Amino acid sequence: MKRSGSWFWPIQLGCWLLIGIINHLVAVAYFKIPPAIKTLNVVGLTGGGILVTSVYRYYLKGKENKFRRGAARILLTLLGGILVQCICWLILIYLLALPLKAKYHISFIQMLYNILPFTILLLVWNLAYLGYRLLNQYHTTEIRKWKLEADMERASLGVLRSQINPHFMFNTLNNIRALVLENPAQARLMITSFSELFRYTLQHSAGKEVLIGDELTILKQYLELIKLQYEDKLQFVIDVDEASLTENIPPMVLQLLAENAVKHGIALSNNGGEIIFHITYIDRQLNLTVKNTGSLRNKNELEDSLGVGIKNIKERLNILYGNLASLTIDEQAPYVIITISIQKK
Amino acid sequence: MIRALIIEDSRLARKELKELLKAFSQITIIGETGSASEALELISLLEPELIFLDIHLPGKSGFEILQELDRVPAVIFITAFDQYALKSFEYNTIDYLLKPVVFERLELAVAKAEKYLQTTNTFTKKEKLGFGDRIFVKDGSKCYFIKVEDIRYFQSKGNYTQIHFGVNSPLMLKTLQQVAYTIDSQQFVQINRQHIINVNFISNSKGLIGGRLNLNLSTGETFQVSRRQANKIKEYLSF
Repeated sequence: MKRSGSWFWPIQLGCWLLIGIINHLVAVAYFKIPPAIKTLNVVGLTGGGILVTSVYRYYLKGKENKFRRGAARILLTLLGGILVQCICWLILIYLLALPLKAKYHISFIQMLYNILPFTILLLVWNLAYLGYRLLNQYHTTEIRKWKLEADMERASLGVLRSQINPHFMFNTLNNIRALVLENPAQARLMITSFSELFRYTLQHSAGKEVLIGDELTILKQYLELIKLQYEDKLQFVIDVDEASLTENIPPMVLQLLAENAVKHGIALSNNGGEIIFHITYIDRQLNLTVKNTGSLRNKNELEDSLGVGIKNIKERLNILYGNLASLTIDEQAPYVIITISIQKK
Repeated sequence: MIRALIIEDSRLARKELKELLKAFSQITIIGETGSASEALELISLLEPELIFLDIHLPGKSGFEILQELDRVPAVIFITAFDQYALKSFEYNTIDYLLKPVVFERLELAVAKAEKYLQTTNTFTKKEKLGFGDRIFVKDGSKCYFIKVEDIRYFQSKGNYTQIHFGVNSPLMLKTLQQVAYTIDSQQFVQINRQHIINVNFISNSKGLIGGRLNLNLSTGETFQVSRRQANKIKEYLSF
């Protein structure tokens, strides 16, 4: 809009001055009109035109957000605008003519002859201005759309990237390799879980939403695999409202939260710790809470800086739900609590 | 025979490594632990020649453990995925292995360790840190295993000490006094409040008025010896 502002005034003033000059030259060449009337015509035409259209533009700018596309609305805006501007212009001319009225016998009817040229001028002005604005707006909405699509893509790619956490992957494979010697049956189960988890990641990373029930199945498999690494040092509790199972959430959210909890809570402690998942669904308000022993002050320096996963979740929540969803991080010793709230429509 | 210690927090990963190491009769596993604090205790108690060290440990990272050791045994790092961390090693790393460990890579690493241990006298019952020993320093994102004989001089930087060797000069979180206490005084000499110098690098000296002394290193650096230390230095140089 900055560009339109910088170009508007030169064009506006230039065009109206040109019209005034042409009008004056035509009047001098073809009509015998007293100089006072000539001046009145030029001032009324150029000054009035500039004043009326500029004020109208100012009004349109204030209505920026209500300025919507749609043929009927645009036509209405156009005709209504022209009518209002035309009336204002006539009144202006009338007021300007008042001092000369008696002397030159200007009748009210004569004044109304101006309607035709005024309307034509205003039609041209409004078409040009509205056309420019519409084109501009179309352009910006188009850009915004692309941006949103790009954001979405980046976020879903981010899921994939943070999902296939190489540390988790290689540690798990290494642990399963040892488990083959120790407990072959369990090792077989773990290979299946690993495959399921991997498949889920590949299938859903680009998708928009998944059932909480499905997410929980994968979450449990993920936690079983993680327990190969931490064994008794990791305890977990999953507490879920029946009503929430059929609700939708973005994929991999619970798992990313679990990973985050392990990375910043369990992995840093010699004695391990616990993770508590609590999901409620009350009055169309979905609350996902993940509580883990730990502290926000203890950072895992070796792994990616805090909150890459969290940032990814925030981005996706924002894209999918806008301000109907929120993510908060809280600390209530000895727990760190992350809560996601989604207001369902 | 190489006496080795395993430091790895996953029990299954320890089991896996021990299984692989069964093939190497020259390696005796003298202990294993999953916690950093226990690792420090075991290292000072058992004095292993070789440690298999996981980088990710609860409480402390493998790097932090190494930094707390006065004298570093041969180290083989074992990690799941740490390209960035391992890239930072430029000096004297025996080797690093990625999980799951490939047997042939382990064979190579063990061979390297053997070769290294033959040329170095780690954990002989020496009191002080001297030539043949290594120290580990992590300065920012860079890690250094430094052979003590390569160090030209230590420079005091308040609570830190700057170690000058080769073209590098990383900082270590120890005061110069602590360094003076642990280092072999036959090989390193404190010449003033700021510097401890490796005697092997001294090329010549020049007496100054008032009993002071200027020392030149073979690498061109010049130091002024404090009056108090000057006599001691002269003694050294008379050898």
